[in-house]
Amino acid sequence: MAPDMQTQTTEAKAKPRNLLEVKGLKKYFPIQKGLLRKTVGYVKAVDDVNFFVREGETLGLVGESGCGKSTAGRSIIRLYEPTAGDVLFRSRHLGGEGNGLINLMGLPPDKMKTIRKEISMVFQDPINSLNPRMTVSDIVGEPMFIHGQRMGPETEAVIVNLLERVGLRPDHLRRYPHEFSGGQRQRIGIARALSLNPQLVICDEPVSALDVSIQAQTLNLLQDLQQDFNLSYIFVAHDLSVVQHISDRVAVMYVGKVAEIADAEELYSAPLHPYTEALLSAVPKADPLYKSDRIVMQGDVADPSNPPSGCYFHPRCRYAQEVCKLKNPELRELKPDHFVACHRAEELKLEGI
Amino acid sequence: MTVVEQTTPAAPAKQKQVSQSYWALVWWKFKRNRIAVLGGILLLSFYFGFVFIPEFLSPYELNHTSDFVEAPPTKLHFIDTEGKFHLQPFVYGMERKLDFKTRARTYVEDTTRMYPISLFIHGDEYKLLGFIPSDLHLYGVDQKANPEAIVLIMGADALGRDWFTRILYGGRLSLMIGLIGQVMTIIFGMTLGVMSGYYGGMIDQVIQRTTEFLNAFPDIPLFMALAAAIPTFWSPIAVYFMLTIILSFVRWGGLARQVRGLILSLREREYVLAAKSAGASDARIMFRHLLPGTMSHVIVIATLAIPGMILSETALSWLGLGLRAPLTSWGVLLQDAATVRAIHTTPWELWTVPFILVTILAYNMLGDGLRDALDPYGTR
Ligand SMILES: Nc1ncnc2c1ncn2[C@@H]1O[C@H](COP(=O)(O)OP(=O)(O)OP(=O)(O)O)[C@@H](O)[C@H]1O
Ligand code: SF4
Ligand SMILES: [Mg+2]
Repeated sequence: MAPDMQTQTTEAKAKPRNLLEVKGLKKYFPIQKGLLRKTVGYVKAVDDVNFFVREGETLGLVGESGCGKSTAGRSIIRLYEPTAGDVLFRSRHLGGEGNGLINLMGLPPDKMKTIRKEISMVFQDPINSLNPRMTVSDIVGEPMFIHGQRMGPETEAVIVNLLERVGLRPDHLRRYPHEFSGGQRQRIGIARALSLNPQLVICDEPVSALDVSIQAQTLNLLQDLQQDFNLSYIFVAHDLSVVQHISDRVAVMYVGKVAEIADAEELYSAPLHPYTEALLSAVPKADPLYKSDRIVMQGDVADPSNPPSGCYFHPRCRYAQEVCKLKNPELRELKPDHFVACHRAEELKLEGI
Repeated sequence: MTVVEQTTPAAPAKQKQVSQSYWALVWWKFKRNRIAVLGGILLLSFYFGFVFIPEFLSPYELNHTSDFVEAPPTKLHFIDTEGKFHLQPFVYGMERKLDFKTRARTYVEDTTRMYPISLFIHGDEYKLLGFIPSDLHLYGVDQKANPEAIVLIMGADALGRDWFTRILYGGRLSLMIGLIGQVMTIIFGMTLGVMSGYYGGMIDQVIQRTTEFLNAFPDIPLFMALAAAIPTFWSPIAVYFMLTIILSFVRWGGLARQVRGLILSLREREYVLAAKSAGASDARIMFRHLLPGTMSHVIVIATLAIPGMILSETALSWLGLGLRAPLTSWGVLLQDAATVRAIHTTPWELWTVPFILVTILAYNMLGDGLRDALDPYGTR
């Protein structure tokens, strides 16, 4: 059973309301073989994922390549139709049930279209995520156009405003994506994502493809925009260093499952999951004299179509015991607001940074 | 933590920043390919001359019959019998002789009668583009002053009609059937191809099996079967349109397959997901985001396929299954020329062939050039 995230078990400290709750989300891609395209198995890219995002916060979603982060992000807004699960969202336009949240699963297309104004996405690949045959003005204005705004001087003024806000010039309006650098293209993508004034932006590794120097700029920009536009972010990244400074809370994913979720500070300083510890050991330290042993994980990320038994992490875990091979650990709230899926979480003394 | 925002390198003030759209780059590349440009110019002039202004280019009206039945091409002269040079070319009058032994008609020049050929001469009346009345012809002999004079640069047919005039008018239907048919093929092929690739599943299966079914037939027998189904009492113009539809119907499959293949790869691009995440409809994704990415392929394929279309019309009409008199197309003209007797007595009727060949060659020159310029297999 997944822990009930909806009830906020923390002390009376007034926390912002939940903007998004993901419950038991699953996305299985069928593997088809042969002439008749018979389904011979499933890639369990996302397998029973649970987390929530509070209003105005940034949730970092971290895991190695192939852990299902993108799939999770895309399933939330039904770019991929999830196999199972619920996604509850506090919409400004559509009233929800008792708790003010509306379930996006099974929402009819017209209502889903309204939701798309409120949840937008920034993509990883700055080359592929912009249509090479459209001008910047068309790209940034497309969401507005789709939602019924006619192209005219007013819309153009909005677009120019957005471009300036992300650090591009108005004379870039009539240019094509290939005329820009990777960082600039990502800014175009960000302007586009903000064009409908969303509440939640899912950033799928927005800086992974950029040079390190440009990464910092782009992260700063995203942080500034969060303030100005009052945004919440789900920020996907494949290492913990990228999300360290911008996340309020961090979820660590491993092979389609959430391994650990906690407040960022706590997760970095006192991780409870061996996988988190291993990822943390790769984060560059602020103090160059401080030497910690980098934990080298054996082997690769498990194959989500044929995961190991028990804890999916056990073949690579240096604390693995017999029980780990047999039983799949559940995600449980070990400390307030600190969830972990590991049999030995209580006993292990793991090293943070 | 603040990092200096420097997103755009300061552009040199002098160097004007011109946004190069994809098509501007293509045009720039295309222009440098001489052969392709030549093909393009040839085709443009063919289409302009044969489709829009054959009435003006030809010396006579299409149905202008004369007594000069099966007359060979008239010779143009610059020097008369006295050896005097004329700047303005002229033709001699023609006298018909019947050889009673062989029963063959022969024509001899009557050097006593000289008719100068003038440019921009008034002759048969016609309506340019169907509505501009005119009687101006590019060249010819003055019919009013010398009604018995005639100029037949490519000879005459069995009704004494100028063969060159017939070729010009015939080009209109033949070239148009290639173009209209190809446009229809593109519309069929692209729409079905994009649906097949984008939706997949059942829709894909049905479309794919249909194209396989159509492709499995050899072309000509299939054309014959379909063309034979056209009722004989239909007006020639209805037959013409029906034939165009048949030709494109049989040929959309190949294009649909190609488009489908491209869509399969394009639909995985993140900009498609981006459009979806903004709430774009399927139609918008297919026609605004996916199809433009296949345009360069489609243009090349279509350009290279038009000759096949023109040849099919020619072949069908030649077999007597396509267009029929009184319509004039290159296929119909070939049919006239296709008997042993015709080749023996009126070999000039084969003048149709070079026109067909040059058209096809020009299309291939253009198509190859477009392929290089559009670089559909390149990265973009
Ligand atoms: N459309 C698909 N069909 C089949 N399998 C897929 C599909 N998309 C993703 N997968 C598989 O699902 C798993 C998770 O993929 P996903 O792209 O979500 O990982 P990720 O964590 O985003 O990795 P990365 O850091 O490389 O982006 C991978 O094993 C991948 O092969
Ligand atoms: S359950 Fe066992 S194998 Fe899995 S992370 Fe915890 S200790 Fe390691
Ligand atoms: Mg990814």
